[in-house]
Amino acid sequence: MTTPEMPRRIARRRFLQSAAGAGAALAYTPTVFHGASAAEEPDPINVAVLGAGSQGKLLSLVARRIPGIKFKAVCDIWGAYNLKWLSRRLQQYGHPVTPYIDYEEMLTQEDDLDAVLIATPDCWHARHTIASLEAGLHVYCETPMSNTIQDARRMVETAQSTGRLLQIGNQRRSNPRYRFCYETLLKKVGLLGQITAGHSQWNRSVQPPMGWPKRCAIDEAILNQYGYESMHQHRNWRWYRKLGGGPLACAAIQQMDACNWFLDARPKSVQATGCDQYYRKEGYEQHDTVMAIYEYETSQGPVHLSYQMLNTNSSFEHFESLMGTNGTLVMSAMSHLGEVYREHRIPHADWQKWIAKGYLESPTALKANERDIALPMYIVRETPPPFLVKSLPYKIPVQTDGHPCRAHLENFFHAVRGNAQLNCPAEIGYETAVTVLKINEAIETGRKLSFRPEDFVA
Amino acid sequence: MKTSESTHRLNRRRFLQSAAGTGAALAFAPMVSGAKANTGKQDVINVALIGAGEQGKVLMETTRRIPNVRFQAVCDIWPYNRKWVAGRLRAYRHGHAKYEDYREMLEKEKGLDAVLIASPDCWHAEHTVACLNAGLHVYCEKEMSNTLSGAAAMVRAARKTGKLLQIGHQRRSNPNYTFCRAKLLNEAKLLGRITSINGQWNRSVSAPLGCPKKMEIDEATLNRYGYESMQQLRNWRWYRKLGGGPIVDLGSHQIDIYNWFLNAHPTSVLASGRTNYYDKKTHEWYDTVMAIYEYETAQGPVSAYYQTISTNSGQGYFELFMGHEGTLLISERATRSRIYRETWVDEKKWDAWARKGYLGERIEEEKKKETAAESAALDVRDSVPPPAYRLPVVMDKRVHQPHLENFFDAIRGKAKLNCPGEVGYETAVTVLKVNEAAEAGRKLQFKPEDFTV
Repeated sequence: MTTPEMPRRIARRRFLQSAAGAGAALAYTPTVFHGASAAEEPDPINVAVLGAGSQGKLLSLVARRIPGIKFKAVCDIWGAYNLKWLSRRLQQYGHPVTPYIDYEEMLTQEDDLDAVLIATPDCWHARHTIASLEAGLHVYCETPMSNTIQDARRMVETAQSTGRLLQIGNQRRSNPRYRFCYETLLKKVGLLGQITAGHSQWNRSVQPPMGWPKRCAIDEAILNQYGYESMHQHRNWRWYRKLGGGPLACAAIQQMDACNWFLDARPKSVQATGCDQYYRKEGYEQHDTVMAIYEYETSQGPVHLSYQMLNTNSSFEHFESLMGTNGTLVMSAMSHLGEVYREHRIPHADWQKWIAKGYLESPTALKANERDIALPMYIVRETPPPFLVKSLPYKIPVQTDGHPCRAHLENFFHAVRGNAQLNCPAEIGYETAVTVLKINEAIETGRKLSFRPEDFVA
Repeated sequence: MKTSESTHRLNRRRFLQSAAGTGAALAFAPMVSGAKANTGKQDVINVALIGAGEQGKVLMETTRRIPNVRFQAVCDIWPYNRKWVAGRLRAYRHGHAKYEDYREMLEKEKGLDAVLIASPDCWHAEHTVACLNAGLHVYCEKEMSNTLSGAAAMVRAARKTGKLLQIGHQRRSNPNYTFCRAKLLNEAKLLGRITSINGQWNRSVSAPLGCPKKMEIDEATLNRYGYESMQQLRNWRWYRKLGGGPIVDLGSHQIDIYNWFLNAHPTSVLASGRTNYYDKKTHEWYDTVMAIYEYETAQGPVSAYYQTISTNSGQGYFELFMGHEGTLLISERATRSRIYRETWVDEKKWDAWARKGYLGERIEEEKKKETAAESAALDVRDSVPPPAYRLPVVMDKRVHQPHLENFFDAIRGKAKLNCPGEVGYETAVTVLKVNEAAEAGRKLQFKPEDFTV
């Protein structure tokens, strides 16, 4: 679909290099932190945000601090609340935004947009992304890219056919700490030895349903028009099967994306169990508890990964860990988590050189009261666990600056300017969607489901 | 089998109450800690050890510290092991007769009351059944057998002979565990509704066990006892016909606690098991196992994850019970244990339990870095890490001691077994199914009748 607006937009952006063309030749550009003084203010990129819920607010409020980003429009079907709140907020920060209820109207009316940030419910991602790409805009779409593989495939195809950029919001791909761990600790140093296993999880406390101020409710006709049966369903869309991939997709896609990336592989099989009883009283349909086991074949050998998502208990929150014969890496988007453990059998001196090179920070000493009381005799076959004895965690010397999504947005805007390649283009988002959405199928069948290599290609 | 010895033994023990008979009437007796006022000589329990390998040595070293238990003999097919243990027993002034063949020992040793069995899993059934039939009480290490038919035969033999059969799931007698189950879970219900469990036992890469030079057993003897080589005898846990692999060696201890704490048996299991690192010729069983159980408890469904990894020791071993109001992290390594309150639960409610002595000291939570707090505030999906409390119970004994004490107290008719054969059988059914599920590549169902003999 070529709209009449499209040529105009392209003309306006003549100064922006065609990213899809030029970007390919560029090496990876490390993330640029705050930097850019007013004097070197980059060419402005005109942005709209589609979906002004909590994630849309987060993306906008982080993006508005990035130099050269100018918000022009906000679109959300909840006019009396989300739309109003975010429009006003952006206006306060000097962004001349126009509010829209309907995205088609926004795409027609706004004639100088360069890019759209999409943070609507999963079931809308494909329609919003495809319409935006076809209107000639670059798209940053929140993860999961879609709740169905078919829609995710259409998104990839449209990005390819329009030549526009489509970044999927798997933000760990741009996180400097994750990039450091991947490039330096895993690829360059091979710090963990042979990776044989891993565990990732996202555990949250019991949460009451999201409510809304009664006077601000959307009227039923509009709700129905956009696919929601009620305000309750709209506010808690993640829990309804036709609206999204569930809390599972929301959490697991980010994390399994990091695992695929770190392992340089995609899984061979998955098995899973799911439970949906705890929140049934709220009318929810999706699993609140999911446990899954993936099998990989990497170039180093076979790997097992377990994944867990709980919505009734927050134990150890969210992290991804990889376990190798020489050490363990624990990563999290939360910056207070993220450390490396040395296996006890590896001499301390072996890792001293990495500290000397600045790849690791020395373990901090345990407080006296944290020291384990040595039992008179280990029971048989035990090797002392590293966290208790000598192997205290080594710290990762790279910190994430600002919110973890900032670097990923910056990568997107750099790519729009032709200065970088996307860290998570649609093709990668698709691979991850395939990896995670299969969990639901595995729960249904109770069988180990296999992936074929071609499953990961849109 | 009624041997003349067994009659003789029964006479000798007329003063020892018949535990199987009277024990049932007794309420659960708290751990009796060693010293008793009445240490009359007639109270002495005479024991033998079958299997003097690593685990047998641990049981011996613990048992010899328990008053009024006296070793008489040790049996092991490897002279190196039995000499080592016999030498220690002599130094401790215990009896120290040595046997290669358990049948010879049962025939020759007079006055035995009980046997501790720590031979390889594939021998447990034969050793246990023979000892029970010889009129002896048996403490048998877990896994009670590597086959369900072997495990069932053990339960039946215990019933038929009326002798006691304690299975070595020693956490069942550990005061940390009994306290948590009785007080925190069943009485205070501190966790609220338990929805999920995690557990693991992760170990570093380790070299196969070797054999000191010139200490090898000759091949004919090895073959007679079912081993192809010294390497296989020393590393029997990794061989399919001899043991069950790490999931059975290690997982069994912990998955037993899942059943016990939940007061339920699982309804299904799925699993993945592979050999990711070691040579499959010397490590026939999986070095990496991940399994997921589903339970239906009185409170609702529970998903329970377990993993054992033999190539990385990350986070060691623990069981983590997760409920909607709190979390119990428990480990045989007692200093690890913690109780976490979910942040939304009223602090006052838990303070009241702390005042009653149900919770130990509150652990100051680590302050998050500012950036993390900021991102948490922005990111709707984060929740704040929960406040942690210590367990108020101190377990100052070796990990096997309370379970052995429970066994000896039961022989004296002063306690009920904390892990009788029937319970060991339930756990064997639960755990052995993991290997079957890994093979099948699908979720396998349990029927309630699967758990009974």
